[in-house]
Amino acid sequence: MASATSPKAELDPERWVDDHGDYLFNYALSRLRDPVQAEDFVQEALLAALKNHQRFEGRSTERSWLTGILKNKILDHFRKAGRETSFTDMEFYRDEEDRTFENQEFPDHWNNAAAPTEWNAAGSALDKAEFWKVFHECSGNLPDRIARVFLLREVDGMPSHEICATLNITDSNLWVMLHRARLALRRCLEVNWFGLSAEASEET
Amino acid sequence: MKGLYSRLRWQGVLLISAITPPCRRITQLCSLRMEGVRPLSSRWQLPVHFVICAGCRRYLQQLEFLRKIGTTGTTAPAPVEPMGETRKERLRERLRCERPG
Repeated sequence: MASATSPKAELDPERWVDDHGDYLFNYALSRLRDPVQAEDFVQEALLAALKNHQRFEGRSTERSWLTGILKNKILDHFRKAGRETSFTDMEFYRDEEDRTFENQEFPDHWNNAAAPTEWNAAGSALDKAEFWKVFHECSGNLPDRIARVFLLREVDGMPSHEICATLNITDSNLWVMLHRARLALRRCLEVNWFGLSAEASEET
Repeated sequence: MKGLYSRLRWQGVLLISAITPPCRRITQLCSLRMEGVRPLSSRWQLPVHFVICAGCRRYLQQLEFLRKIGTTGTTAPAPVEPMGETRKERLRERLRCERPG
């Protein structure tokens, strides 16, 4: 029934590459952080899509259908990678955190130089391409696993318990990683975006 | 009168900083709250601490902003780097080979 009404477009996987190639490649690259691996996964996803194209019922857009396949391939890969004890990642920014809360007068309170400042016009930053560039640079500075956890949580909106199950880590492990990612990203955005834009607006 | 006010105010700051955890712990509690984890103690500790600490107050707002960045990012992912024609051609080639029929 559905196939009679939905226009069954002619199967043209090469057009997928033109229409969605950049998008899918960036999706994979931001999660895998390796262009060669990203290419492999896009290829694998498109081959799987080709094999199962009958299952695409046009209920979602072609792009979200292909992205869904790619996403599952990447999650499978994370799952198989399993639990690697990653000492360096867990130690990530411990020093930085120590410096952030180094305060002679009140121990473990904000260091004056590191305390969060007011972010002016935060909402409108999201419309600016330069802001996204800064954001991607900042998240690019995070260690792989910390960035992976942050992306799964905040970009994909995956619930904590699912991330723990997928990556085979404990709750507290996840919380520490998210906490460190947030501390570092917040600081990076403040230094490289909000601090600069505040200076710029004072000058004008 | 003004001197009395500022002295009382300072006493209040000292009192609150004595009964709420230090900022280092507060930031951890903020992060937990973003995960929907709210230990009983933190329910009063956060708002009370925020009264005296603009840094932590802003910190929680900024975590909410980070989440907004994340959800916006799904609909508008900034291209980190285009796929490139070489990669695309390789991919088309492969798909041609696998194409049924």
